[in-house]
Amino acid sequence: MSFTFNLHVPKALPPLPSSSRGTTSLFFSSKHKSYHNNTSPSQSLRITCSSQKSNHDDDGSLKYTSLALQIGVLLALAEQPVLAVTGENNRPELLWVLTQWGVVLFGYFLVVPPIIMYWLWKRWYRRNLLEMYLQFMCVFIFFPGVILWAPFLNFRKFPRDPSLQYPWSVPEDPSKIRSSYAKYPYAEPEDYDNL
Amino acid sequence: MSSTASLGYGAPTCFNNVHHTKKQQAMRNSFLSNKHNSVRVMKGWRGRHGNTNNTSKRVGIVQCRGLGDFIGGDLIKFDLGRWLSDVEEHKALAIYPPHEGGYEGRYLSRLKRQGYYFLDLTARGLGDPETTLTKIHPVCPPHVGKQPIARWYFPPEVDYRLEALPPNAKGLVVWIIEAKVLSKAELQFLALLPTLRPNVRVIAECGNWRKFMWKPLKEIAGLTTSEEA
Repeated sequence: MSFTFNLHVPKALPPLPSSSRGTTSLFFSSKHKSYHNNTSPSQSLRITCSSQKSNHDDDGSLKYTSLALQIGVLLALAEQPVLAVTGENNRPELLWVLTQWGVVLFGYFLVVPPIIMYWLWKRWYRRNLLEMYLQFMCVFIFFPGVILWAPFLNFRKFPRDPSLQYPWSVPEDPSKIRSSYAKYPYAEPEDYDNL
Repeated sequence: MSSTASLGYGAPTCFNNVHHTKKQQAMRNSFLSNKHNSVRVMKGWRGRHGNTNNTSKRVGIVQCRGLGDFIGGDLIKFDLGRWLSDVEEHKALAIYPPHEGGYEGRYLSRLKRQGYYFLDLTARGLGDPETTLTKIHPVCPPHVGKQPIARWYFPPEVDYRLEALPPNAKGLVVWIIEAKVLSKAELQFLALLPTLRPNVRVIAECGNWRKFMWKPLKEIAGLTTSEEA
């Protein structure tokens, strides 16, 4: 009896919008109320209700099982990202990241600019178009490092005569000093070797 | 000072070896280049040259430049203290700033802070240094057409400014630019000027170098040898 009543309550409310089922439910309820006192019509009604209720029970159980399955699937799907969020296997270590950045910045600011400046000094009068392009590209890319190193390096020209070590040095034999150097475009790259 | 400079360039024996090899290389280089020039003139075109010439020239091109020649830019020269002490000690210095200029300003500012006042002169318009600096000297200004050639007399440059110095001034610095055009006799007078006028210091820019260097003007003018002799 209690079970029958429980089944009645959820069924009565949803079918109201639909006309056919609503009328049938009202019909049953009106009959039930009107023939409550009579024994024989009440028995007949009970039989019919029990049969219908059994059908409804089967439908409800099927629906519930499907709902339960769906909810279970959803829960199973939801749990997987939760596990991935809390896991620590894929997290990069802070010290390793800082070490990598340190190595990159060390090379960018301290190692490569002196090499570039030496390369410029060494090949200034011997480079062709492609090498000039590469030199300009390297200076452009490493410009902060080159600016950082510029006050501490000195690539100015050396005296043409290697024996003159000081500005006040006097050559031992002035007659051997070469004083006629060809200028561009008649000069050879070897003429700039001692600069 | 010279000892520190030599120490900066390494041991004496190594220096001698380097000097010798460099001298040989220079001679070889000049000989090869002369030959090369003659060959080029005969041919009249800048084509590819023989392998032997290139090979020998390459062999002779070896340079011995120490790492110390490249280190030492413009911001890590902590030599201002030595500069002030040398100015006080020698009183007449020959300086060799870099070609692009501007570096003597750091040293000039330090002297200005010490309390010196400056007389800036160019050596090309100096005339006779002794007469211009210490005696009443005539100056003939240029005329502009039909005018008589005037002759003005100016007071001594150094003495006039010494009289005009404020009482708390430390001295007068005669800063001479382009002093490379002066002869040895003129440099000798400039080196001896501080002995004639005790409050005077002389700074002469006698040339250019790849970094800022200075030396007593007596050594440059050759007075040390004469004094020793």
